[in-house]
Amino acid sequence: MIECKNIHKSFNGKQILKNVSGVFDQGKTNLIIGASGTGKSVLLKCLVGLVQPDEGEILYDGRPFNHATNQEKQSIRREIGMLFQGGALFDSKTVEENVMFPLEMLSTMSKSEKSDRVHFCLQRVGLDHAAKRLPSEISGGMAKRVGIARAIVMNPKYLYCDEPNSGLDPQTSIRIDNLIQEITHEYEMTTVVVTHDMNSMLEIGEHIIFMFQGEKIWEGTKEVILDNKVSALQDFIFANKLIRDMKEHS
Amino acid sequence: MIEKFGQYFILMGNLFVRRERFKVYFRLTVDECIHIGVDSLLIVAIVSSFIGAVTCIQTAANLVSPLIPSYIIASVTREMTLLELAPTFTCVVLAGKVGSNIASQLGTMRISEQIDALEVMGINSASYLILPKILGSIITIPMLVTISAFLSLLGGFVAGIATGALTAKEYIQGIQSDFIAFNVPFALIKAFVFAFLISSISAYQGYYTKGGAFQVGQSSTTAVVNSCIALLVFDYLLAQLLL
Repeated sequence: MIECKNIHKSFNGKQILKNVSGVFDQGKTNLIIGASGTGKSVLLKCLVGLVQPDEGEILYDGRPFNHATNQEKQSIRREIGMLFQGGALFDSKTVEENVMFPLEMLSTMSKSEKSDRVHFCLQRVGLDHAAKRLPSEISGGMAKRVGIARAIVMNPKYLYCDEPNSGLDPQTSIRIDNLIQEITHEYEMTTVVVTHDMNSMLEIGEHIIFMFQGEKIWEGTKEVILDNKVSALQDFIFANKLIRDMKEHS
Repeated sequence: MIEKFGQYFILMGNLFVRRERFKVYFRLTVDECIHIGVDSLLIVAIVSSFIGAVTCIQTAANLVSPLIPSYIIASVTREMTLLELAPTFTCVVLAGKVGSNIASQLGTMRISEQIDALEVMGINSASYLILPKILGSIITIPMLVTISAFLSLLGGFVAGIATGALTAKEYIQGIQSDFIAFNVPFALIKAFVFAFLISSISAYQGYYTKGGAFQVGQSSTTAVVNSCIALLVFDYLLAQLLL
């Protein structure tokens, strides 16, 4: 479980996050949604420690993170896997080497154990055949799947996904969403997904936080989100004609 | 400005905290030695040979007095090569080649979130990415400077004889006469300092790149400009301190 309490963050005097609190449960796909520029990615960066919040507290299973020493932070970070928006794969390494990288750096496994683990993860995301290719030789969807394989290779307790569907076609997008949800349930991970994709929200949103102008203004599940009474959330959701029609026909 | 100096020194300090295993650095440093050193051999060889040749010819053209023996041309070429041309000129060329490469590589890694990915994995990205580049530079650049000095003197030898400015015997006599042995370690000290400056300044510019492709280009240019300025400042300081 990940908890954030009263997170504040400003950049150059502009407040980006205003008193954001939330609990992200284990074994669930937790979504942070909201329009562009509402602070979703900044919140995610605060949670993983890439940005230091001005105020507030972040706890990983009760362990303080943002006020921890470098050593404590490092040990928590080694339990975190993250899928970046663009995949963030290392250009000079093959798909296999990218997935192998965390094991090479952080594990004490033997060479054959590492190799088995990498091939298991690549199989899990359906990319065993692309092991020897470079990131420049694979599609965007494949790069995201490699990113997922790299994120789960160390058996993390916490999985973060930053806009996993951006730039993907609807079918690939659904495939990625399903993969994230399956992995979350399979390994009982605490997964936090930042997205503004409506399909993702309705497919895998077991717990959803809606951000608006740097604040959390709604929290719930995919089952109740369409019935919400928050005008900003309604504007956000029903900007999509398909969902508007769906609502009218239900 | 002061803030940037502070950020630079903090980055340099961060290279030595939360380090990875020695084996990791060894492998990366060997890669960087190949990348920085071996891959720069051709350009250093071409530049040095021509610089030596030009220095010899221009010195010969200016020393027209019959009272000055011809071997002095070789002595002047040697002094200029060892004191200034081999270390400083080679490093200015390397600031352009190696510095821009380091800055653009790190800048691209920064904007494509590869550096963030390392941080999230719990790896000290500064130490993992920058330390091997600095080590690779301070190992190979003094070697390149040594090769440069040799090729520069060889270029002067070939040009001097080809143009009839002096004979082979005079050239050999010239480069041996009144030789100050300290000039060799002085050139190597300069090379070590310049190697550190080029790699660390370029790495700093690349590591803190913000934005997109345009800013990566800007970082790369700034890295070269700042490295060259730092080289010239330290060139003066070292000459003042050590000669």
